[in-house]
Amino acid sequence: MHKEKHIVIIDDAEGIRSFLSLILEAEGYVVHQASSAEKGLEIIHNQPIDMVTLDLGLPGMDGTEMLEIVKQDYPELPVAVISVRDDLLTKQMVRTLGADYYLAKPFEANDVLDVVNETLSS
Amino acid sequence: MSNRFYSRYWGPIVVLAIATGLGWFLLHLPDPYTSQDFTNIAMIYLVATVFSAVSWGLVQSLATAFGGFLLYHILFNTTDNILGLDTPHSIISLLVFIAASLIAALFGSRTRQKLEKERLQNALHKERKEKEHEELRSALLASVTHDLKTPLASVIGSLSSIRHVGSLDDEARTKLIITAHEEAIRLNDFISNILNMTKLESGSIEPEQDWHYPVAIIRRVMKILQARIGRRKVIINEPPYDTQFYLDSQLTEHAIQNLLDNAVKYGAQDIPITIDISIDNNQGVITITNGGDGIPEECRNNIFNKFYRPSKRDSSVAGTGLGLAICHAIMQMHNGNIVFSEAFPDKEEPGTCFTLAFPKGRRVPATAHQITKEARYA
Repeated sequence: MHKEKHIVIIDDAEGIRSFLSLILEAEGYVVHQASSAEKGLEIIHNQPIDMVTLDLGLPGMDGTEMLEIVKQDYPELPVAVISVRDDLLTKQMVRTLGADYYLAKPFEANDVLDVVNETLSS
Repeated sequence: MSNRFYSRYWGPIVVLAIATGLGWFLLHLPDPYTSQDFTNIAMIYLVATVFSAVSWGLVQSLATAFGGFLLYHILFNTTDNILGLDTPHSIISLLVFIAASLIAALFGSRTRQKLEKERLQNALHKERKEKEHEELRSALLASVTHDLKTPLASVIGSLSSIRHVGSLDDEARTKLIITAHEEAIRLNDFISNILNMTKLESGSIEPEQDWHYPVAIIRRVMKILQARIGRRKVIINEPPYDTQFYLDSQLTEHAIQNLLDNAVKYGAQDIPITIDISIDNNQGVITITNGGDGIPEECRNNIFNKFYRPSKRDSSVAGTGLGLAICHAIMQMHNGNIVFSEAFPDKEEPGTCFTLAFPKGRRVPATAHQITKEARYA
């Protein structure tokens, strides 16, 4: 049912990328992985991406910088920020930058599936 | 006006009162201590001026000088003239007194300014240090939080997927179990490293040094890391004679384990990891070398700092940023050192080489060799 919906997971933690891809692929999404913001942007520029999950603490370009770029170049592309930072200031900042969802690590599989299904089914 | 005046000049007033009291006391001492030499009294007022200059500044010291001059001539002069300025000699005395007071006031004031400047600089330095310390604490806390929560997120995410996501097939479930297991190990490594670092820093670990065979320690480490090393080639180069180093075997094992683990994680797969044992100027030396990108030049000064992770590519590999800091602390406990260098400086990918130098190393005598040959590989 989710054929043709492409998601890119941008996270430097291999474990997070691994389990997110497994559950999203099991739900029928096409999943792309990137361990840095630079690689993530490359995928977004070259693939028909429908949604982005974005970690904030990335090596090189920070997640917030990438969020700014993505929202500037692709304002309609939904972005779910997934981060260990669980403070109000960070949440407010990413919302101001245009993030559509915010999930604090650690989170349950259903939390992320709910967000992705809700976003991509609408 | 009066409040401001008193708050500014109460010091000079008190000092002048004390100086006057002392002058009066000197004049009324019993024989043979009493003196009619007024130079001593003038000197007391001069001292009062210097004291004011050092304590309160230029304006107060000038006020003290002027007040001192008036008091001296009104209270202690012996002529009919109220200020005692009845001869050229007394006028010159007055000018010398004023000049001496001015000079003393200027020097005193400068000294005071210098002391005040130093005090402010020290306070500023202390404040800056405290701020840096606080920033470092926050950064460390953020780093620890990140490094604890990230593997925990993978474990919780993987296990909750198996529990709640019905669409997963068996292969995906197996992969999730493997992910959860690997991340739990990573979390355990991190917690162990934090505990070890804390113990090392608190000084609660006392090294128990004795003569040990370094090759035996290295082989023990290789056994512990067997699963992680897998098919990677590790070469141990020993000298043609047996060697013993004076060290704490447990701590050294831990340091070598961290270095070998790094070599496996970050080194090039196709280049063997080499471990060399040698004795150099009676020092015991172990070097661990691997190929690969190595450590960027700009990061090299910080690699032994806690929670520092050298390069961008590191973040894709499990690591805590504590391993090298622990090695450094362990080598310091041995009064030895750990040094980083490029393994292949002429190559595009210079790799890494870590050298551990222990203060004492020795060749093992032949008799000991025969007795302990078996123990070397225990």
